[in-house]
Amino acid sequence: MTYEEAVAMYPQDEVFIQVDDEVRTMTDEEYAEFINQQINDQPIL
Amino acid sequence: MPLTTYTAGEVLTASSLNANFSFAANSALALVKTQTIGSAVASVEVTGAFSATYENYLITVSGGAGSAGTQIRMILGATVAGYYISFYNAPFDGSAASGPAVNNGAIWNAIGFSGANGINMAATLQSPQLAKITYISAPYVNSSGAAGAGAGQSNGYLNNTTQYTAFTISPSSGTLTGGTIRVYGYQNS
Repeated sequence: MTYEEAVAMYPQDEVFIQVDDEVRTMTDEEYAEFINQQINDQPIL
Repeated sequence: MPLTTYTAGEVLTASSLNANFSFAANSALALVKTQTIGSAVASVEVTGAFSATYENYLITVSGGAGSAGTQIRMILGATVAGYYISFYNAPFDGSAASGPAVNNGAIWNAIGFSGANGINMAATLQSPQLAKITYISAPYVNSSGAAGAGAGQSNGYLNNTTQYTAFTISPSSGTLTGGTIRVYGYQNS
């Protein structure tokens, strides 16, 4: 998955971080890490 | 002594009721915490999961769905180093087994699976709240139906003696929506 594909699939305002019952949007740093994870993920079958 | 049940109008004795309380208190697994997963979350941290009450825990996740068919991962507290996992995956179609591992990595991987039709995880953790190494054992079942998808087992440890109270799960790719995380403590006695 490319950077552009990852951002298009998971816009920053549509992915969240949850701590117990609290759900919040990601910081820019968290979102960058999340997008990098999408790009670099190697799925295990 | 087994759990006693009563019929309508029956006189309940203190000894019988106390025996029932004792039975309940000594059940092998005690529910510590239940957490419902929100919508489109990239990670879920569960606080207050581990305490001095129990040394060993079972963490299950069921229901819900993942945006991508992928593995579930976990960290304890805020630790992002020292994770070890030996993972063996045997495909359902009989193709060659694979075993990607984590060797002093940043996260435990392949301890569960999230797919369009549900999230599954049943990880046993030993001594996360003791000042000892924490061990993990978890089945992995890829129910995506993809070629080469299989089932296996992840066993590993976290190489420190930190006493943890919280954990975070996340899908390797995409997000989670819905489903329930349950934390059970194994009775020490």
